[in-house]
Amino acid sequence: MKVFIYPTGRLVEPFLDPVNRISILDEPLGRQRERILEELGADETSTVTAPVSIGSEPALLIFDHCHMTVRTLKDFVGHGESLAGQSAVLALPRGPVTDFAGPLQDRVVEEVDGHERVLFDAFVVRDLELDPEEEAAALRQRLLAVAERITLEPKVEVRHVRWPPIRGERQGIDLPCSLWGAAHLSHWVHLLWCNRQAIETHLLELAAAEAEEGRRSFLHAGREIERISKRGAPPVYVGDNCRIHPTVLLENVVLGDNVNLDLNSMVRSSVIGDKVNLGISSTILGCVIGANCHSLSDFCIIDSVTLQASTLSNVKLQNSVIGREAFITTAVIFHELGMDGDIQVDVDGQWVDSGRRILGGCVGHRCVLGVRSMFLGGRAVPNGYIVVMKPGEGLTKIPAGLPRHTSLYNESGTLRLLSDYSGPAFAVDGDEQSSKESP
Amino acid sequence: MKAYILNTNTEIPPFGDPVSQIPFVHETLAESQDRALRRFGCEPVRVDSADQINDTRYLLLFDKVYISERMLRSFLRELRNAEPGTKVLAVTKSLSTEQPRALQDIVEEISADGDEILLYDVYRVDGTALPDGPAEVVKQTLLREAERLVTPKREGRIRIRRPSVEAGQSQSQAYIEFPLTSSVVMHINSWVHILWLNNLALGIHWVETIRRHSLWLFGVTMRCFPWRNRFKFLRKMVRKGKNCKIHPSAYIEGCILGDNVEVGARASVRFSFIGDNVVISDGSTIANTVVGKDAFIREKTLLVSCVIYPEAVVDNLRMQMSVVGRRATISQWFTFVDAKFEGKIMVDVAGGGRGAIDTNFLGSCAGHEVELVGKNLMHPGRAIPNGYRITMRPDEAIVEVPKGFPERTPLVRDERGSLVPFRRTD
Repeated sequence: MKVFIYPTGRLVEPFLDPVNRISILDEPLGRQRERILEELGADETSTVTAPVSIGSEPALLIFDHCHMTVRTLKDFVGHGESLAGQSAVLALPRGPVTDFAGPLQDRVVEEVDGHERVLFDAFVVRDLELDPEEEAAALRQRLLAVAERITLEPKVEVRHVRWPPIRGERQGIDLPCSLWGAAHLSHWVHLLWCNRQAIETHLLELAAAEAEEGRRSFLHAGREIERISKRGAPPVYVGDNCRIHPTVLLENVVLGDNVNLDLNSMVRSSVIGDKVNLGISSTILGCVIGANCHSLSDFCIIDSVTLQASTLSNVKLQNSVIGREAFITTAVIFHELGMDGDIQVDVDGQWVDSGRRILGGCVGHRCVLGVRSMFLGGRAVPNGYIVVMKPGEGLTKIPAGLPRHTSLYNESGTLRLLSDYSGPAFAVDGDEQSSKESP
Repeated sequence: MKAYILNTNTEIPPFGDPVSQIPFVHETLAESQDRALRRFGCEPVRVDSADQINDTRYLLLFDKVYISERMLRSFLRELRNAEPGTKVLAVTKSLSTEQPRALQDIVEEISADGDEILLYDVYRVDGTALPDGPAEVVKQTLLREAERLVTPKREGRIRIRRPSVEAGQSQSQAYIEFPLTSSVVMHINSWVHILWLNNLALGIHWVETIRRHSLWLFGVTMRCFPWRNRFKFLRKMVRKGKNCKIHPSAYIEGCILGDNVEVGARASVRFSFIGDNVVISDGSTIANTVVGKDAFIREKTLLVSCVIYPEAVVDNLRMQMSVVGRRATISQWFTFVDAKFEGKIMVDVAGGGRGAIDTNFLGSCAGHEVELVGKNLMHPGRAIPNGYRITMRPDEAIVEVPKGFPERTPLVRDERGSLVPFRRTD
């Protein structure tokens, strides 16, 4: 079967990368799709750059922003080969598999017999004229009008991720663990959520592959883990030439080649790229760390994605995306907890709800974020920005000759005597101490 | 003998809860009083005023008094040997009475033997007619008539290193002594008493647990033979409830865990009481802390000597000697400063007003359903009223990230929370 990739021309902010170059598990989406199609035995894969005519043989047409798992694509192609009508479209029943990364996606949801299904931009077509000048939305409408719906039936296990409650109401989200899944990528939040979902899928794929080979994955991984760490649990997939300290804890992890994990690090439910170097006491939970990334000591990152070659040093970074070659210093903060409801993000100049109460931010490629760069949740920093601390917030001048054992404070970057403080009183009522109270 | 518990209408700020409802480990103060009294054959009866009491010989406690089983047993034993008449519980000054002493309304006297004694609101009334009126009037009457019954107690002490705060003091001199006893009596007037009482709970509960389950302790001791490694022993000193899910890499020692507790990877829990259904996420460290049921401790949180009410969510990087109310939420960058090097720490007390406490180390208290988000620092000893939500000033964070600046241009936050090019002024 021939495969046509239809370009949507979409750029993902703040990276300004074509959607084809967005990384899923540290591999660009376009390259990953080609690899999967090649494994599935596709005859020829071409991007529609000029008008093309598809004949009576069924062909696969995928919009370039559409991400699918191996199993989804395999099942869809299997159904599509026996296509009787003119065209067919991929559909998945609405559930955790479609909803985890669902918010802000440009997709069609249909209701049939009281059940909802989500249609994705993957079609099996025949007798069709394609013109790259045609708007992707118009082509989709044209195809959906006639396409037969091929609804797959994914098997899914759900893991509930607990969030802080709002006014006593419990909050959380169902993280799907399934071999099936599809999404339309258009925003940096999809990069974050699709990668989180893809970690679980990838671990299942690896386990399934080993089971097919006749090996029980946990035994194989168990030998590995026994060698590298006394405390840890399979499955752990370790690449070549990894240097792992005996105190490292690994669990549900895929490590690339030449990874260096230092003393007391902990990595759980994550995918680590090649040549990653994690410093002492690093904690990586539910993350994708791109190749050549480097973390300093006591770095902690949770449910986040970092692209290649970034330097990371943060005490606790959650639900965020870090671009290529970025540098994040220790006290960079994305306030990821939304107390007033969903955190808003910028979509084509409009602030819209992201559908999540917990969301960090996004740092563009080559950014440098200095100490005390504090962002509200949902903010995206464009490529190449350098953000520094306000000069007055840190001590810059330390005058000599100040009395010893006397309280000093920082005023506009200079040390002064607390007894000379002339600002407004800040002690609370009834406090017997004067306004010149020190912490 | 009946034991009457007199309502003092004390409400503990900032929670506004009646004092009988404050938590002591996983029960309320009222439940704790009832349990202790029933254990020694006393039937607890709660009364709002003295005129509801019809007996002539009975025990009388104020509802704000915590008394441990062991202390109550000692008092009752002394009563058996004492002459008839009204008696008041008197305890000789010691480390366990002095350390949590601040802000307690305790009468101090010199005994006939010349010892300094403290009088607590626990009485055996024998024929004394009590006046109608508030609890304070009843107390004055009883103190005038009651004989002081000095009750013996035993206590150990452990030394804990602390930072030196006094000029010229060597770091090697900077130790704090911590009492280890199950003979405890306290008046609860402030949130700091909730904190201190629960900190003492370790000694109280373990001594009582050991007494009740001596066979279990014998088994634990035997399994730790040849007794060279005390940490091996402490790891065995853990009582777990049903269906606990504990990651193999988690480290737990000297703890009591409720049912359905989840402890994540690389979490460390020491000398703490964890309630039912509590989730302790990966990498957290909890020491000498009471965590109420259904609480949620997020990743990499550090809690030392705190009291966490039920259903609270704590995400702090570090919190020490603080109290967090029911269903409160604290985000990771909200910091309770826990040391004050100049002046005294002031805290709210029941009935209004504030009082100084004699320690340089104390965190703060978050009321029920408080929501604390953003990066903020709070001075020690502060109490946040119920339902408050504290966030950052909008200009303290970067709210707006304008597009269009050339790459590699240093940017800085302005007064409106937007990014502007940084200009060096000096």
